[in-house]
Amino acid sequence: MMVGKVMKSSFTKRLLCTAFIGCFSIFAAQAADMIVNADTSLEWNQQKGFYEARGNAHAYQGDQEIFADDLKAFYDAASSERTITQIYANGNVRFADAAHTGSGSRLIYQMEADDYKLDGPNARIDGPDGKARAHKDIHFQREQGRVHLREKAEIKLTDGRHLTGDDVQLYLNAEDNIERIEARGNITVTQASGARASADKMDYDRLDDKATLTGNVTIIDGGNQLSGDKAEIDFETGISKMLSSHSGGRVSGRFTGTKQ
Amino acid sequence: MQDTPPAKTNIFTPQTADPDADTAAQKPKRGGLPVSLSLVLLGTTIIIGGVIVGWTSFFQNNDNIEISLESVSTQPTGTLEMTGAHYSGTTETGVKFSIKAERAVESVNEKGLIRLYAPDGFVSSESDGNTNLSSNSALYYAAERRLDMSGDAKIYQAKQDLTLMSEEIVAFIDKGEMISEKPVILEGPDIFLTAQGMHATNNGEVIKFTGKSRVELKQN
Repeated sequence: MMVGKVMKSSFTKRLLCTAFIGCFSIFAAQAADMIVNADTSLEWNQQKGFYEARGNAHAYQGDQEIFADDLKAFYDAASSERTITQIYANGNVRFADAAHTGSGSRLIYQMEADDYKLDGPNARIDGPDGKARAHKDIHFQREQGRVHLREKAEIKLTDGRHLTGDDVQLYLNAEDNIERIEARGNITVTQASGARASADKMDYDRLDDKATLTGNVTIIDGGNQLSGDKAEIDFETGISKMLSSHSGGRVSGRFTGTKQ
Repeated sequence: MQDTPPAKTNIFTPQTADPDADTAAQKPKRGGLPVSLSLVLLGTTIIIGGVIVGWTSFFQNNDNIEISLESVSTQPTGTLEMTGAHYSGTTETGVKFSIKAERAVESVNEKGLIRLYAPDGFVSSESDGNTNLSSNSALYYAAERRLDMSGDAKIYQAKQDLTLMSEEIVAFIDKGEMISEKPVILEGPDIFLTAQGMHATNNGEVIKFTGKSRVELKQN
């Protein structure tokens, strides 16, 4: 039987608003011409179906652009249309569109699948709603409906909400709304109000708008603090429950009354 | 029983001086210099008119090449000059080619090097179809099957409707390679590319453009 403490907290907004996923949708299919510049060389290989730009390479299409030491754009060699299907950017990668910027050491972008992997160190994407960081990589897979941030992952929204962890995965539904979040290792969740929770592991489900935190859980909200092995945060009601683990762990709390 | 006829002289084969050859054939044609039997045969054939003949430098590596001419003359220095030259044939690697030039000159001091003026021709293969080559002038190195095109050099590949332009392009016909160290432009229905030079291999299937390069790719 679990024993727990309950605290009304300021965790009253969804963990990450759905609009934030726009932060990751950095590329969109465009019919405009693609222009590629390079300082050193530009190879056109019709046998393998690619263009490779070396030396301060820069590709742009409409309002989207990518800079890198080297860029390789692939097309179907068997097709006469030569529509670009994949882009590999390597070395000092930077990219931008009308609303987003990003950088990393390497970018692999599958245009048809709208799938990209941005490698670190310090891969970052900035959007109108916030920014995402990961030391190892950020992998956006639209078809699988998944965004994966590995090592020192950080998602920070402009309104102050903040999620960090060693490994963070966001699962999206067909409308690109976040359905579920799995975060592992050194998790911290901070709400715009300043309420903060930390744990070893966190699972968030958008359907019931609740997060379950496990392992070395601490919730700090104003002067109140709860510690334990497991906690549930209900973002709809703002009620946080600290539960003891089945292994007999204890829950502790410190509550500070509000001064009148 | 018939006597065995004398061996036929193959005019497509480089000729060497034959001490037993008809001395009349070695009389200087112009300027008092002796010319080889093959040139006499060549001249004779041309005089006969428009018949396809062989020419030593072009047949250095391969016999399966033909030439037709409008006129031919030799200079006192031994330089051979032709007008309305048309070379055609198949290289050792199976590439068919045809090159016309308003004027073609081969110096006796630079055997195997032919200067072509206003050359215009094509190479052809089953996979790539016809590729046209033209320039203001060109040097043809027979031994290497190398064509150094200069002045408004253009290479047009019909299959993809692609035109490569530069002031200078070197084409290695046998190898299917092209090199330019001058600015180049590549233009086609869905591509426009500029660069400072280029090296094409695999019959143009792989082109490495060098120096500052820019390409516009039309996307559907």
